[in-house]
Amino acid sequence: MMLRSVWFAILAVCALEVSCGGGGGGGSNSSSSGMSIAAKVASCEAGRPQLLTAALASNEASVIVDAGPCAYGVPYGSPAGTAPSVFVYGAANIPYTSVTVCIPGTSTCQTIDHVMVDTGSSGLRIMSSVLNPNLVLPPVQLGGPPLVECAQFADGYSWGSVRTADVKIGGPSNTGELASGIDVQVIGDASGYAIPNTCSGTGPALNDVASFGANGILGVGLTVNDCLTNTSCPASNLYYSCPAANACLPTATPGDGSDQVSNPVARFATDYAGVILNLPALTSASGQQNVYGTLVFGLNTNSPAPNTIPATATVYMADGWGDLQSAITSTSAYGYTAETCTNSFIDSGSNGLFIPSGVVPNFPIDANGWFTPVQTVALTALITGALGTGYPSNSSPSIAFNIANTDTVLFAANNGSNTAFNDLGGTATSGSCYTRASGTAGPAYATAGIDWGLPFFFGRPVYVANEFAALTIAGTAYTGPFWAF
Amino acid sequence: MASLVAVLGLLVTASLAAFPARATLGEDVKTVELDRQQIRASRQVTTHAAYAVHDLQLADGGLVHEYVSPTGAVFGVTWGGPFMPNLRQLLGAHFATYTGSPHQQRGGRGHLAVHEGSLVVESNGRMRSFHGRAYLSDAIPAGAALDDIK
Repeated sequence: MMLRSVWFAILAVCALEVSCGGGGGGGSNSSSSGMSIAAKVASCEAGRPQLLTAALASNEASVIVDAGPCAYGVPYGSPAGTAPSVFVYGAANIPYTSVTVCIPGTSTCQTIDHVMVDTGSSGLRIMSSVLNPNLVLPPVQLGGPPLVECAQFADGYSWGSVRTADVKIGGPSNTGELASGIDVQVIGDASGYAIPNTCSGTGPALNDVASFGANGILGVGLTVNDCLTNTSCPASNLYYSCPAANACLPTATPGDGSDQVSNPVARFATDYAGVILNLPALTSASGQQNVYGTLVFGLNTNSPAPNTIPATATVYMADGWGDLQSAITSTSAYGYTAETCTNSFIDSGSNGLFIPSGVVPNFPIDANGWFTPVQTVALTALITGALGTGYPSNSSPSIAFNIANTDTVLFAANNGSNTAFNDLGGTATSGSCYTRASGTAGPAYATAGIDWGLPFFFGRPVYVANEFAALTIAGTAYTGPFWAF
Repeated sequence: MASLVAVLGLLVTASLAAFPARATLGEDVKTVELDRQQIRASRQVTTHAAYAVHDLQLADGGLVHEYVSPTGAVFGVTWGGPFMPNLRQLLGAHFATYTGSPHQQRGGRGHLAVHEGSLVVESNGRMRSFHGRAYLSDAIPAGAALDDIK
C-alpha cells in the first residue's frame, strides 16, 4: 500500500505540471483533450531534469539517477482496469544518459534521453515509440529475412528487430565518440511479427517505455556482443529469423560473430576497452533525488576525461559467464552464513543489492522481495575475482554497506520522490548461494550469487574492462573482461 | 570466454516444436517428462529422503532442477544458464500469475521477485548468466527445507 501511495504522489506531480494523464488513447494518437500523446509525452519530458552536458569532455557523458522518462501506458502497480495515461515512470536507482543514433553514413540523427546505463548487458536498444518517423534504420537481414531479437533480462524480455546505426555519445553535443554502423535493437518495432512462445515464455513483456522504464538501454558491459564474440550465437530463444509474420524461427548468427547486437563502446576508435561509471557518494540514508554522475569512455587512453585505472585500484577478473565471487563477512540481528557466492556480479542495471536469503537468513522482505529490516542494518562483504587459471583472484578490502527498510524508510521518504538509494536491497533468491570449489570447471549455473547493483557505485568509481581490454595496471598486464575499483 | 564457448560448441539446434498447454510447477511428476521433451534436455533423477530432484541438462547450456514430493507433485523449480528458460513451460498455470503481478521493481533489469499467495518466483542475472527459482510455499513436503530448492 505504501508503494501505491508513492505512485499517486508522482502522478499528481505530473498532472500539475503538464496536465498529463487523461486521454485513454484507445489506440489513437490523440487524447480527448486534443493534445496528441506524443505532444503530451514531449510536454512531460520538458519538465524533467536535464543532463549536465555543457562542461563534458569528448569521452564523457552526463548521467542522472532520476525518476526516469515520461511514458504512455499503465503505471506498474496500478489496479486492474486502470486507463492508460502519460506519467513519469518512477524509477529507483536507475542511471540514465542520452545517446544519439543516426542512419549510417548520414546526418539524419536523433538524440534520445533517458537511456539506461547498464554495465550488465552489451548493446544499444532503443524503444521504437521514441524514434522520429524519418529515422528508419536499415534492418539486418540474414539470408533474406529480417533478424529479430528476443533480448532477455531477469525481469522480462524485449522483442524487436536488429538494425544498423551510427551511435554517438560523449561531449556537450554527443559527438565525442562514434560507433559506426553497428547492430542495435529497436524494441517494439517488430509488432508485425508474432512473438514466438519461446520468447514470450521467458517472462514479463518489456516492449514499451511504460514497462521498460527507459527510452532505451545502453549496454556497456564486459562483452563485445550480447551473445558470443567472434563466433556464432547458436539458435536458441535469442535471435530469430522472420521470413513471414507468424513464422519467426530461432536462428544462429554468422560464425564470424557478426549480426549480433554489440557493445557500442567496443566499436569506438580509441576508447574501446571499457568505461568508468562515476556516481557521487550519497549523503542521506533515506535517499536523494536526481543525483548526477558521469560515464567516461576508454581505459588508459589519455583521453580528455581522465580514464587511467589508478595503481591503488584492484582488478577483479570475470569468468566465462561474467561472474566473480563475493561473500558477506559480518553478522547482524538477522544472522549470516559465511558462504562464498560464485555467481556474483557488479551491475549498474540492477537497482539494489540483491543477496541470497541463505546468506542473510532471517532478513524480513516485502511482497516484492525488498528488504524491510526494523532498523537499518550495517554489514560488510568481500569481493574476490573469479576462480580460473592464468589470472589472479584478488580479494577486495572489506566493503561496508547498509540495508534500510525499503518501504518505511526509502520509498516513503520525501513523499516518495527520492530516486537514488545507497542502502536499498532485497533477496536474490530465497536460499543458499552457489559455491564452486576451487579448480573445478563446468557450468556454474545453480543458484544466484550476490548482485552488486547501483548502491555499490555511489561514491566508488567502477572500471568495467571488456573483452577487448589489454591493459597494464601498476606494472601488471591484464586482459579483459574484468572489473576494477 | 573459452569455457562458455566450449559449452556452447556442443549445442544442437533448439526445438521448433509447437507448445503444449501443460507444464509443471504444482502439477504431477509426469509433466517433468513433457518439460524435458519441450526444452530438449537430458534428464537425471536423484532421490532424497523427502523428495526427488529431476535434473534437466538443456541443449542451450542451461540447467533446470525440478523438485518432486513423495506424492508426485512438483513443488519447486530452479534454473540457470546463458539464456532464460521457457518459464511458461516450467511454471505452467503459475506463469500468468508471475507475469501479471503488479510488481514494484522500479526499473531494474537484473532482478525480479514475485510473491503472490503461495507462489514465489525469483529471477536474477543478465544475458549470458541467468539464475532463478520458483516454488509453492504450501507444497514443500515434510522433511524438505526451502534451502533444499537450489
